[in-house]
Amino acid sequence: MKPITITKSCQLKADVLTVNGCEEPFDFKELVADASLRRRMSRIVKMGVACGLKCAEDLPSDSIDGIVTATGLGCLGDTEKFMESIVVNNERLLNPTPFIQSTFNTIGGQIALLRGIHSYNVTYVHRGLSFESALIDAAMQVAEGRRNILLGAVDEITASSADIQRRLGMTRDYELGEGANFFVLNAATPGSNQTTVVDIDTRSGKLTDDELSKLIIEMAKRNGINASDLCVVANCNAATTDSVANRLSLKNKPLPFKTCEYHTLSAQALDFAINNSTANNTLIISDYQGINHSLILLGRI
Amino acid sequence: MKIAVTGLGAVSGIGLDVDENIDALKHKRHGMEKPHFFTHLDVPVSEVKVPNVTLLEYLGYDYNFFLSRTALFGITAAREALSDSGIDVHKMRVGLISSTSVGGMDLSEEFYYSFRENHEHGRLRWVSQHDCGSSTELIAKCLHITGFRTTVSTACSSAGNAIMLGARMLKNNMLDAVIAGGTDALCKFTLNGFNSLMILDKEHCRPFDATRAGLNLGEGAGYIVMQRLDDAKREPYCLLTGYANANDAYHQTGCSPEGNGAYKSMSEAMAVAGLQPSDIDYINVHGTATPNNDLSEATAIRRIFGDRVPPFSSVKAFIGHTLGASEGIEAVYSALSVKNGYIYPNLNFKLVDPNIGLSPETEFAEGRNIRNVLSNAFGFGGNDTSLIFSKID
Amino acid sequence: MEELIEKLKGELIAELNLEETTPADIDAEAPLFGDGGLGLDSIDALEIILILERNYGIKIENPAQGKEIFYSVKTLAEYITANQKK
Repeated sequence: MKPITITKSCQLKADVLTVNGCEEPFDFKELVADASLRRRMSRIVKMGVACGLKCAEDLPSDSIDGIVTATGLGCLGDTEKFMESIVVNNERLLNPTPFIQSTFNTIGGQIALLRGIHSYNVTYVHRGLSFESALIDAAMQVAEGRRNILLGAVDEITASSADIQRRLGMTRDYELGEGANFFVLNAATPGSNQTTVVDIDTRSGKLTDDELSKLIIEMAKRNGINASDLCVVANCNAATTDSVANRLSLKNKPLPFKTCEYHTLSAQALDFAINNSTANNTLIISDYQGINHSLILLGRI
Repeated sequence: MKIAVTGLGAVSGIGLDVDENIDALKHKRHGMEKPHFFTHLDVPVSEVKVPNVTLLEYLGYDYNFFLSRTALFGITAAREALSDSGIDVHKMRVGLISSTSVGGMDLSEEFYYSFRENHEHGRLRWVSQHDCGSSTELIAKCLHITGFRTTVSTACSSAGNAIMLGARMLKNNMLDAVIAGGTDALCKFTLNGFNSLMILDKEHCRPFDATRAGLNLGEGAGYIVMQRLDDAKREPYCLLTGYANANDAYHQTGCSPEGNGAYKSMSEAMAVAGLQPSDIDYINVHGTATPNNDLSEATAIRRIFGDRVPPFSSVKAFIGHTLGASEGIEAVYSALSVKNGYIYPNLNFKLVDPNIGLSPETEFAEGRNIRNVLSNAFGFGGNDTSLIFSKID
Repeated sequence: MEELIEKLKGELIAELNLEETTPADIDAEAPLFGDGGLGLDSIDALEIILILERNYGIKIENPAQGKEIFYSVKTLAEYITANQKK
């Protein structure tokens, strides 16, 4: 099987856009020049569309064989806006725009619409494994022979969701985060010194450090890698990181990453790994609220 | 590699299991009534006809088990499909790929009334199932599925995409069996959303009819179990031979007049299955009964089949448009169509639309030789999915 | 009529989020939909229906009915003048 390569990585966080790790000036009006196409977009849609368009800008539309997106909670701002209008207007004379834009696949659909991309377009919404699900699908698409797949993840903080997540105790260890990340995946051209996706594993439910370490050793083994050689990007808490590092006798110090919490933070961790790890094999260990866990094994070509 | 359909499960406004659903289709009993839950909107909907407690009792769960209606439907239908397949979830890699368009919104709406007054108010259990993944995790828990699971949400084509991912994961040997489909409960949010788009018919909907004036919403869940044919222990219902998702890229909610996305999803699904248009014996159309959808879908069908359009019908006048569950339930119907030669009646069709020039099937039939069924599901964001269910050679 | 036309332009800009458009940019006789005018679409038509009902007490049941009424700001103003209840 041909390696699955990540040839571009874009990130939009707090209005700062980075492309392959380098900051780029960013003006949404330039990316979407037509005002009539911008006017209905909420904040999260703008974040996602901007990041996705930037990531796909070098690719002709007909060379993009798929757009696969992920979001934990989707377009929350519009969801709340429409819910509020139902209550306030007592189910009468409601503006349809927030309802339309609240749909989970809005960002993937908007990118397709703006660029005229008629290919595969699917959105995953599975808590802390939303991005991993999208990555599995995108990697499989490339393995099945498709050309460029645009892969993205977007989540936003709203005042209401911040209050609810705080009350649910989800912000005890980390502040809430948000962001948009997009990647281009395709079949590798040899000798391009780029990151490849080697293996992905996802788990739901509680997982002890011992069980996690075993999963890592199994994954390393089936891919012919010594677990101790891995460069770990730790998108999990420090205690787990230390414990895993000990159990695996890691030769390299893990790169700590997790500074905030949101459902698709692992997409940011992937961007971080691409831009900061120089090792041959990098493993991103992600943990969302102790209930969703994932391992993303990267290689280099 | 062949993908076999080995288990079916469905709950909808016309029945709590597959047999009840088919019996209602046979006898033309539709599920449309005025809504029972609190809403000012006076439009027919196809609700699952029992309250949550009755469904919990039916499933043998404690009535205190706190579940969104979306999760409850999902558990009901997925459990039926799994038990039908006879698979032991502990003996192989079983995945669950579920879809939903609103998740636990039925509960979130209740929460929101208190929360909007004061963000410290509102009982948290009412919002803790809001995210779409929640219903999937609850189904997995009740079915003792510990392996891979995920949730797809692409509006009204969601379940088609869930089934498509399931088939691909089997082909790529990432799973040995997969339960795939979707679930959605009616709620104020979607009912008002479609109402604000002015595409709800105040009367019983009439797919493909010249007088059609919009859709009716419904609720329910539908799942199929798929395995590689060589691994199937029981005799499969049929094969899933074709699948494709394409994007219309025309408008956020409307379909292109040429039906470009639909044309592409149907053509690609046939290419995946290695079939010609003449191999398709029946089309389970998306057929929502909005003027726009049915015309666009018919145009795409004409572009592919020319003057030889196979028999087709829409079941939306029975079960309503069940959104994220739609293609889950209709996949179940399509699988049985192949197995038993069923053709389902398109209720309320009387007058041919001169712009369409096609008449759907209006009577139930069985025992027909149906080699391949093409099943369509189209959604917002131009999201078009087509699946093909086929006889085992 | 002139006054109503100006008021309508303001309402359209606000309700349809027509960023960067000023009332002076809108030609009262130019088509609102499709090419050559404001380039509005079917979702905008739904929002214009809301403007008519909320602000002028005029009810339009079927979006297709609005096609001629919504041709331009001027046709809208004429329809409102003829049918206004509020």
